[in-house]
Amino acid sequence: MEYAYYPGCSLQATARSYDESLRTVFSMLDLRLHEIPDWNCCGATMYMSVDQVLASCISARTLALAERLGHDIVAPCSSCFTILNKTRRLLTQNPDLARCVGEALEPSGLRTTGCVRVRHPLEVLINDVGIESIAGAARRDLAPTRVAHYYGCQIVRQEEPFDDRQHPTTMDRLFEALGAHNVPFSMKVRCCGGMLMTTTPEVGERLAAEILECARSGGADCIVTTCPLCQINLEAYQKRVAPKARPVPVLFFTQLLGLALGAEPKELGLHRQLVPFALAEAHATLHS
Amino acid sequence: MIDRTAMRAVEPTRPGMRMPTPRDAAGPRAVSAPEVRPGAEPPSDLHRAFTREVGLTPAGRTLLRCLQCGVCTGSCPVAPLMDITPRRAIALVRAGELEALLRSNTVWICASCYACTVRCPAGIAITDILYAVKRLAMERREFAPATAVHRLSKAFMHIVSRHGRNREARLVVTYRLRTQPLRLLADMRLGFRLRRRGRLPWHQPSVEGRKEFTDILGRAKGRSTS
Repeated sequence: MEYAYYPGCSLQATARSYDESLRTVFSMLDLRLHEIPDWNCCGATMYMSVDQVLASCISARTLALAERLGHDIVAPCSSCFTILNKTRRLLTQNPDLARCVGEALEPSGLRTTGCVRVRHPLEVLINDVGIESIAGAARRDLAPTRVAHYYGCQIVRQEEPFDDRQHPTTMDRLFEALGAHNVPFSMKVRCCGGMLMTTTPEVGERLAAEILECARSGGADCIVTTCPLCQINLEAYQKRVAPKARPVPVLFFTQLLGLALGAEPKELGLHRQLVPFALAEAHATLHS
Repeated sequence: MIDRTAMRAVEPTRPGMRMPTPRDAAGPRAVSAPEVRPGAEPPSDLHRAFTREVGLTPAGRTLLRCLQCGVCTGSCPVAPLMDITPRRAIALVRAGELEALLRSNTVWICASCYACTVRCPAGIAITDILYAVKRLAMERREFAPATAVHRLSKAFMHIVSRHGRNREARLVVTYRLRTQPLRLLADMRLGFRLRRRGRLPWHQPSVEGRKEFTDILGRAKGRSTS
């Protein structure tokens, strides 16, 4: 299977380990990623707050570039995934907007028809590979690891989500099949605060503190997430929001999945964690 | 398959969440859309601008379905910190009382997590409506008084319009210099920890077709579908 890969800006900086682990996991499962040539920022929530036409043009450029490749887009960042999907939908629903965007792109030789889908790697792994095949390829048992699955807010909240909007279970089922123990975690789709951690820290810190406390009280060894902003908000401010509490490692789901598939920690960017994570010693060795 | 027994445990607990007060229940009086009110004043410039913004999204048509049940406010993780809760915000929009909403902190505190939109029994795209209000507030500077989100958006757009991509380190530095330079000291420790792990490069690649990218932005700017 081949895909057009849209890393997004965060995966080149604070979320580098997401990029590294995603590429590792995809190649281990024989899925080919072709990075979209000269992709640009999706515009995030920022452009959407300022100018709808401008925001749509920015996303549409990337959609048009991906259409040239002719594969579905894989967008790991929850925000990119949501924004690109939203733009694709808006352009089909609103002909006036589509006309404006078309006129802005056309002189650059770009055109969007909406023919490629925008997909999240989690959904790609579940639907195109399947949990059974992934479990069959596993070379490490995650057995003693207690995991809190944090989906974050945006990934399942668009119009046609790939999982339940209030109680998604994709990651729970995937990691259960790999031997992990899922802890009860009622905050799985609660908002991490997003940019509020920078603009209104008193609000952002409170949201992060509640999510972290929920994971700790469930006895989680780690939180697994699908979004760069969730990851940094939950990992980087732990000392500030709860100085005396037990630190909880926050991983991208591809990092834990990569460990199960037998990848080395370095290939998964685990050396970039602020709160270090390692599997229990007895389970760190490979079985064939 | 969804495990329904587990679903009950999933309802987020909200410490500090307040119960609805009589003030909430009272809400604003009029809830009809300005354009259908018989004998009303002609729509103001502000209303026309809002109708244009909201018309850009499919959300606009859903507004009149609101039954003021308050599920949006109950689902919002930041509602307790808002001057005007999401339920009241929708009522104000329908009553044509846009100014009160534009002057409140509501749209600036919304983190666009879409929890309200997902749970609204009338299918109203509340987040998209708040985006439209936010765009209006930014367009009319009188309503976006040096708010943090406004400044962060400007800093973000400044970087992306030049490079085609965001650069996280520059974004935070630019934003802090324009708002609270002293907070940079507090950010620096985290910055160094991230840099040591290769997570905060100062230089990140720009798009190659920078000219092409800025040309698209130039052509898109100021375009309106109205």
